[in-house]
Amino acid sequence: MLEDSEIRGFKIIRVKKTPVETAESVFEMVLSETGINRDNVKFVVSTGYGRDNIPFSNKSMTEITCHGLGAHFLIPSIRTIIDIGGQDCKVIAVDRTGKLVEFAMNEKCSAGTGRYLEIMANLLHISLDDLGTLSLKSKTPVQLKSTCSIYAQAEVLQCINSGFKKSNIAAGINKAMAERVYSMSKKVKMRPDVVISGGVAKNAGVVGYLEEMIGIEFLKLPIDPQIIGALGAAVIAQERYKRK
Amino acid sequence: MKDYNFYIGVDAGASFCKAIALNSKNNEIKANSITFVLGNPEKAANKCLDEIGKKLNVKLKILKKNVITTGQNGDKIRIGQNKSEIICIGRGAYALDPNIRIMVDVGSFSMKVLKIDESGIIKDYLMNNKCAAGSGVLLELVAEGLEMRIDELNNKAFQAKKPIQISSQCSIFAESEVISYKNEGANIPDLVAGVCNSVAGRIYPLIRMIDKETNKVAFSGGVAKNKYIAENLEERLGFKLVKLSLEPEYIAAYGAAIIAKEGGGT
Amino acid sequence: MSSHKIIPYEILYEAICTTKDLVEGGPAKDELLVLKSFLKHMKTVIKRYLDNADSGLPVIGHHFAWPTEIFYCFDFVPVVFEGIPYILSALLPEGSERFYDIADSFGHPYHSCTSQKGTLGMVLDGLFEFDVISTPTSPCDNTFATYPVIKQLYDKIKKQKTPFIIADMPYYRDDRSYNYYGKELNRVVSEIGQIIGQEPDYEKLRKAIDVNNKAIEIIAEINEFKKLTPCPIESMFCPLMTAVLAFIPGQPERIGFFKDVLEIAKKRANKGERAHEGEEKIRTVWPYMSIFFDIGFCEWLDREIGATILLDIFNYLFFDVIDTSKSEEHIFKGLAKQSMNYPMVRQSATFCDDLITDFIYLSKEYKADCAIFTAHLGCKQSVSVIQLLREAFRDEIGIPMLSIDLDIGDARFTSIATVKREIENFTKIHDFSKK
Repeated sequence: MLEDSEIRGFKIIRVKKTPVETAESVFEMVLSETGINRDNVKFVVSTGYGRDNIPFSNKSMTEITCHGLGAHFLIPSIRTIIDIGGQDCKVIAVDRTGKLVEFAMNEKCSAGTGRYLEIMANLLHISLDDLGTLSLKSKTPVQLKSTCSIYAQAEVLQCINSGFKKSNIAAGINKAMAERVYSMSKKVKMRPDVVISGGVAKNAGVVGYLEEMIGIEFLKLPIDPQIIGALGAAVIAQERYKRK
Repeated sequence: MKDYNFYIGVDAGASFCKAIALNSKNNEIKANSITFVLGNPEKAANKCLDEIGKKLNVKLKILKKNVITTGQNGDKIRIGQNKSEIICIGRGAYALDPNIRIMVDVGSFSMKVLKIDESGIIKDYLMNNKCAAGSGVLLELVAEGLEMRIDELNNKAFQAKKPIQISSQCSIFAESEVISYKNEGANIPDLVAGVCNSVAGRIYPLIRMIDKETNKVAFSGGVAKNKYIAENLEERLGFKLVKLSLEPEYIAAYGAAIIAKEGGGT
Repeated sequence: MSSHKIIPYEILYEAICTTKDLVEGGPAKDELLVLKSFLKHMKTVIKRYLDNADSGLPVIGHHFAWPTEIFYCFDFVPVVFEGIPYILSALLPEGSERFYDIADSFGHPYHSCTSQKGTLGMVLDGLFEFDVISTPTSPCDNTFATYPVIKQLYDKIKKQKTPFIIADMPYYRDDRSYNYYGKELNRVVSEIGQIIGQEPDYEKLRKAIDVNNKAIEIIAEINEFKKLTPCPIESMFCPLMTAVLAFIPGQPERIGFFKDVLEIAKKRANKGERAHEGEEKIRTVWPYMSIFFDIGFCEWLDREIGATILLDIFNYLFFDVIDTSKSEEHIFKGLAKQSMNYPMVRQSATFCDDLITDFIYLSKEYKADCAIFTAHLGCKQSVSVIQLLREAFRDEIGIPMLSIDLDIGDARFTSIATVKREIENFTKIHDFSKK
């Protein structure tokens, strides 16, 4: 929720059975937290997978567009956004005004998405956060040959059984993950400043390898990266209302 | 006099390790065993051999004389010689039924299709070994997600009224899709049937790519145990699959054992 | 003092000299004979190009699909775009990957053909000075897509307008098309003449064509020797011939190289030998190009696997010599015919049937045991034919085809170790020794 280009409040919840139900309840929560009356909300833009079915929304936009605008709103010098979610990975290039220039996206294959890291952390019996910190201790990461998450899972299992150090395996996993994201990011022209968002941004291992491969140091977002899409939608809502 | 010459084929797949023992008289199977791989193929292979040793009452040392290993993890076992899965499946199928022209093998990780000629020579093959989409691992994940045993999937699928179409390609995303359908309250048999259909739908084009005419097609590998998938495949092909006289997951191990008997790797 | 107009050729010259020293200084006196001859002739030719560029001759950057001879109406320096990244990827230890990365980070599509992407990288790095850039509209989509980009970016970097000459190559292969394209070639010659301020000298053109005619005859003789079992010529000849066709048009070294190879082949054939010890186990045809990024690959194939590359797409010429005693019109039509049936142009610029029928014919003629298809990431035209080719090989002549996904000029896409493993597996499964 935005008021005069200031963030008034935000809320993140787990998805419920239907997108409509989810959107209704998160909307109610934000309203009650900020103490704003529903009638004072001037314009609502919805985004994400269920964007077209939200009854109280005035307009729907794709999450790619919203991501670009949201990131631009926070840091205007941003030209490239790498967003790694649980089910997908996208690289978005924007111009000086935050408008979308081009993007690349992988939502077909779990390799190179947050899911990959989740699976691997489970295998190693460590938390997602530890996967990042552990890998920094490694000097000789193991080499994972497979692309497919399932094949890599078997490879990691064999590494564990052969007695490799956990830190080296974690580093190998992060490196393989970074390689997947890098090969996809090549579809888009990378220009600084680059920002990385999504849960993976907290994994220093992946971020480090990715910075090395791309050759650009990333900026960190000042707020929770999960809300960038919603923030972009709010930016659009504000603009639309002003234009009226 | 007791015959102490045994020939062993070990097929160390991605999930299961299978072994078969033949003796020197004919291609009669003397013993077989199967066990989980669990990330340690060498250990699994030894366990299989142990079990066979017990069944036949023979010392391990004698068993290890004539071993051929094969399968996804075959090269990680330091017993005997290693042979390509394609060769072993082809040899096994030809020994079981020389009329088979096409073998489709779907294991837990990969899909293979091979074309065999009248004299048992492999004429062509196709293999998907880069991505686990549509292979047995999908069934494992779905069974896990729906909290049932993998062999229950078959019966569940036959109860379906209107199979649900699964749109994800990646096995991992397909599992998530299945779980979210389940949470939405979808009919479980319809869901399972949808998954099975998607597997059959991935196998079918591979068969057509390798041959357009023959109807001597046989189906092996762990996934072939699922009758629903086999029937769905028959429907797509328009003819019945050739029935094998051996459990489908043992075909490669059987082929390896025959190769061991025929003089091994040389 | 060098004028540094074509720096990639300077890099190439250095690489050739280093490789030549290594090969000649090595312990093997009677080995790698074809490679030695190649390096000797290439060294002379590239040196000549560099000297000519220094002396102020105009530099023409061109596509390999031209009949490059048409430019021999003039005094000029040819720079063949597609050749440079690949020959460098073979000769430089670090390959051409640096140049691909420059183009990639500029935003050029990662899946475009590395042959032109590498050159684009060099242009972006400011390594060229061209007087003219020139290409036909064929053979592939990549050509349409990349040449205008190369030209525009080159202009932007040099802050100038470079003449960009295009010839329209028709789709069909018939007399009407040959007449049309012949006229196009004639137009290109006169336009380039105006740009660089030279009158077209048709006598010089005739001489260049005579050289090529002689080379065509020798190549045909060499190809006859390849029908022998065992094949007396090493696999490495195939990629080297591709390089000679691209880099040495219309010059005596072209004849020199092929003559050397012919002599080597004759000597070995008389003794019934192949290039290496050990028997020839597998005879292969490669319906696309062979691999460039690893110079040792062909030797590995010959020695370790006992497999010979009989022919790849660049090694069999489906066209005839041109009678240079006839009129200019006749000569240009002949050049048009040659160009439109040039390796790769013939197979990918028109219906795909040519690729299939050509290789079915060649596989029979040369008694091939199998085909190996390099599914090159950048070549959408050829990759789309894989299944048709596979079926044709299998159903018409009963030989299997292995298809490997890779980038023939980029070692990072599929490593040479993976390629070797796939080939080893393939040869084990099919067990060609039984034949």
